[in-house]
Amino acid sequence: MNGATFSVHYDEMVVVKDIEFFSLCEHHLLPFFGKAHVAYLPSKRVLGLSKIARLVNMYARRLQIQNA
Amino acid sequence: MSGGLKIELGRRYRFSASHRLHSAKLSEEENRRVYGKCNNPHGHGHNYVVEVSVSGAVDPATGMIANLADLDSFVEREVIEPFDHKSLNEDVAAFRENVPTTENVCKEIFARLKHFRMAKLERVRVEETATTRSNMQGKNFRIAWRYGKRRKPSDQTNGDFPERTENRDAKESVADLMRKVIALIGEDPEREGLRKTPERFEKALKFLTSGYNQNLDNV
Repeated sequence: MNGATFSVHYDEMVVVKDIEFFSLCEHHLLPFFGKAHVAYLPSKRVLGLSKIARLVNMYARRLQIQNA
Repeated sequence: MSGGLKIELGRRYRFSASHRLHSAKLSEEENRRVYGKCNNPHGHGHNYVVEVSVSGAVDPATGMIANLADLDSFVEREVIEPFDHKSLNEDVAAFRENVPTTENVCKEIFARLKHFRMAKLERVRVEETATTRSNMQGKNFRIAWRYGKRRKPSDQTNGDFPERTENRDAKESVADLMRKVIALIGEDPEREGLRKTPERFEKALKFLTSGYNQNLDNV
């Protein structure tokens, strides 16, 4: 992740909401879009917030199934 | 017509010619990408096979739709004589503007033969190689092709996904295949609004699947 992790002292849930994405469905190669919400429980380190959206887009730019 | 059934007569002709696939509408780089080795400046040759089908009423006296001698001399004059042992790009006026692909050669032969007076021209099929052919029938224009070789699976992997390979083979460029898809759905890929659609589609598809070139280290 390009070293974009940071030490923290808390362990509460980190939530990134409403990440818009456009993707292609793998069965018909037709476009679909939506909003993704990502949450995780950190253990000593957290990820830079922008990296979450970049990860969503990395997967959105591969063929996906819509009910995943 | 005979008893309401349509009867066709087909005949095969051969000629040998050279050509080069190069479009003035594309840049040098695009030409190399789209046509691959077929863009070689000095051209290459094919032994073309042309199948001509005509239909009409069977003459009760002769038992024929058209006299083969008439068809042969017409095809000889209109196609074989001007195409055989020629450089299509330079010796045939139509291919100074249009790229002499199998499809365009088929269209040009159809246009030349549709004036045959003794019977109705139904179909022209041009085979450039054992694996590539083009059919033209009435107003519908269809392309059929088979692959000579399969894409070999890549042994390199990117996470769970095969590494994307930039494929420069003319038969396997996304844009080139898309051009065929456009023809197969009955549209004219050379129509102004569609001419660059295959390249636009390829660009869009590469962007929409760019995730395969990303991984956790470079995201």
